[in-house]
Amino acid sequence: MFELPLILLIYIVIGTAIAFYSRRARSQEEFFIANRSLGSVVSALTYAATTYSAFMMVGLVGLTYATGVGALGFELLYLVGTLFLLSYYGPKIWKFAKDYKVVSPAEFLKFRYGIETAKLASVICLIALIPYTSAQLIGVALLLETVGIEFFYGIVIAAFLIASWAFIGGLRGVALTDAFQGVIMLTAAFTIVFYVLNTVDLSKVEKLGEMLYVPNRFWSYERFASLVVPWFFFALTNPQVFQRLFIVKDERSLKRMVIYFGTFGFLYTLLVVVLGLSLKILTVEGSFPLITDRDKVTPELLTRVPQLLSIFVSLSILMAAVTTANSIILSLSSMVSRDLVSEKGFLIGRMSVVLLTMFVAFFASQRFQYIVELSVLSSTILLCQLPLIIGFFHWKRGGKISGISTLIAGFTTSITIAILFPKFVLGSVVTVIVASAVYILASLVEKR
Amino acid sequence: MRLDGIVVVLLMLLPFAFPKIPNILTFIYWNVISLAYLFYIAIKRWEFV
Repeated sequence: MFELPLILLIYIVIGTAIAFYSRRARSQEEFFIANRSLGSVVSALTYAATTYSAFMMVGLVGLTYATGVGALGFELLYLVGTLFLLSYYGPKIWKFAKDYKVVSPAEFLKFRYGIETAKLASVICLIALIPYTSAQLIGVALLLETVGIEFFYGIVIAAFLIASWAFIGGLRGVALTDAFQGVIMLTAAFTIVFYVLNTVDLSKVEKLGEMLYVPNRFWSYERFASLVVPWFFFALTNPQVFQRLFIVKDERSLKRMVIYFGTFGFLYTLLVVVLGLSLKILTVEGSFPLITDRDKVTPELLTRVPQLLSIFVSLSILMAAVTTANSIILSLSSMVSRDLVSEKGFLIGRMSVVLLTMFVAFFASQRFQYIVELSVLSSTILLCQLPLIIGFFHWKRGGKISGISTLIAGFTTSITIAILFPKFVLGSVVTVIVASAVYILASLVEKR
Repeated sequence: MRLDGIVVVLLMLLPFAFPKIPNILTFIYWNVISLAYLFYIAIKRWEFV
């Protein structure tokens, strides 16, 4: 397939041109959060493109194909949770960040829990987001394998795209390239779903049996809770989306950003789940092979659709991965710059974009577990910050000791469960409970 | 804290109590609730304090 390299090249040229067009950073505030000047449409598209990763078109299609409609409930419960959190906490976070000139996500914690807590939160985010970002690269590399590009070179291509645009254009470059890519992601999803729907007899949907209701053999109460809890609080605990709340220019744009993002998220989720269910119907009908490795469902589909459509969708998945990963890398770099080394300019932050990407690419080349589990582990680790963020608004007590002890307790709990009890599905719930209990106890005994 | 977050979460969990019949009721229900909540936050007044 010789067209893909050409289209990849065009994509790289357009993205790089946008990144150069956006290159105007003279300060940390401009480089990391575009001087809080973005409008609602670009903000919404960058929020959506950052949130919705290769997990959607690779992981969630496969999860739906393998487990049924419970995947829709899990993903939509995440969406309504995000809408609730953004509509309630979003305005407060945006205003606080504006009033106190907050740039990095961890810096937010500094005002209440001290610089040590902010540093520790930065380190935890760095550790937690390596597997999540690596999952994006793995998704891309698996996909590019189906069009003849070796796994290793797929990782290299994705890593180059992630580092270069963030390095050149900072947040403004990332946001504008995200917006452009977000439109293509949604368009590609619409196109392939309508293509597949043309071949499916939807009246046969009832043949899916237990896949159409919950609970079933996969979607037990425990498994549903274990996946929903970390994703539900994603908007507050994941720095790359938390930081998106700082970038809009005014109150009106913030509200519109959330509504537009919600609309994007709803449509994208619906399309992805319909695709997974449709492919399962085709398998039941004997028109699509039974795929046992759920991460291979989309790659298999792409070998069976017209070449141009396959390229278009492959590109959209590549874009979904790049938009998520470069936002994470840039957000982590802002924490390195602002919280860990406290530099005046943004040279170290900028260099961190390259170094962190190289590290993530190395981690991805090791290929750990399934994409879903990798992503959820990241969000589970990040849950240790949740009591601190909620407490910031609702709990008057607590300072440095509460901040540090909560992060250590939550982080240790999540890692311990993942290592010692890998089959225990409620690790995220236990992490929240332990971190919250430690936070409350520590804040009750700590002098302010 | 607002109650709408709790209400919408409970509504989203309701399909776990639906009869175990293989039809598209659960699929449609989850979509309707999500869309209704999106509409709700679009029309409600946001507090910037």
